[in-house]
Amino acid sequence: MNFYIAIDDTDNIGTAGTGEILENLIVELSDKFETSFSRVTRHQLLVHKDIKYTSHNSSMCSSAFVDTSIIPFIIDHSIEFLTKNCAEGSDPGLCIVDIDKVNDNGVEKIKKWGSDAKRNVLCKKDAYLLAKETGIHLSEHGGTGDGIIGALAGIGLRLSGNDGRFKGKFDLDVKNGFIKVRDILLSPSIDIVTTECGSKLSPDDEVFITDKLKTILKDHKSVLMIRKNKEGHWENLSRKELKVY
Amino acid sequence: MWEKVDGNKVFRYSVEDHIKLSLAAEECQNFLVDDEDEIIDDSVSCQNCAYRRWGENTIYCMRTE
Repeated sequence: MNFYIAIDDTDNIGTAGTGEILENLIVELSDKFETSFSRVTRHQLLVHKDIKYTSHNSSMCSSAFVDTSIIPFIIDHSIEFLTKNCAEGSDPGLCIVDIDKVNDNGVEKIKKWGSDAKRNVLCKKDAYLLAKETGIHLSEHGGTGDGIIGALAGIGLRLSGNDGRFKGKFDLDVKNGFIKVRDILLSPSIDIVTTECGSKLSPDDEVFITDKLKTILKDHKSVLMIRKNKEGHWENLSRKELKVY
Repeated sequence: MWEKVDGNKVFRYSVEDHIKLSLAAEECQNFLVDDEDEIIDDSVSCQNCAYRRWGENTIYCMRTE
């Protein structure tokens, strides 16, 4: 992927969430620019009394292979979309990165911004300084515009390849609650089935499916996390257990 | 279940007290399930309500009435 897009602080209570807004935006971008976008990832940022957020303080990100020449048009379309679709009272921010135009040092700084946003209260001024230094697009579209902080962090965390959960859930053909690993991996949206320790299963191993099937971003892959349950069967982690990602 | 702290409606108990969080939601006329990606299970619980806001160690209810 050479192109990354992230948004933050676009929603309000009772309105479409930021993840849904980004999904709708990339559907439009896919149609208009004939480009296929990756699934949206959700990245948890710091929860702190000095940070304004709707419910969780999370940022959403997607990526694609894009011809550099069309990126200015994508930026224009994204701004227009956010202006029309962000919730009243929100503080939307948009970050778009053409990674081929950012040097290695810049990429590391963007990643560091992401990890910092999980631990510290950051400010808009520093976000704009980093954007200018690395040559990336960062813009605000209403309210305080504080969403730029999280939008930039969303891209940093996505670039790290080891943060967040993929938006949405999967439906697999499960028989009596179980499915073989080889059949799970037939899903184009699941790359790896593994334990928290990194142990991999054999294709013939069976996994008991409980709760909704959701994956996390690990080593740049969409990973289904599993563990042994009380009965000794492999079982996917519940949404409650995935909250830490 | 809730108390006012600095003008905010704050859950009085631990965010790990799932029973009380479920009871509070069941008693509430305004429970509204949040976006699928923001809930932790399918239960009626303040943890899954669109009006809750996660704090550092607690949950706030943002419903104004």
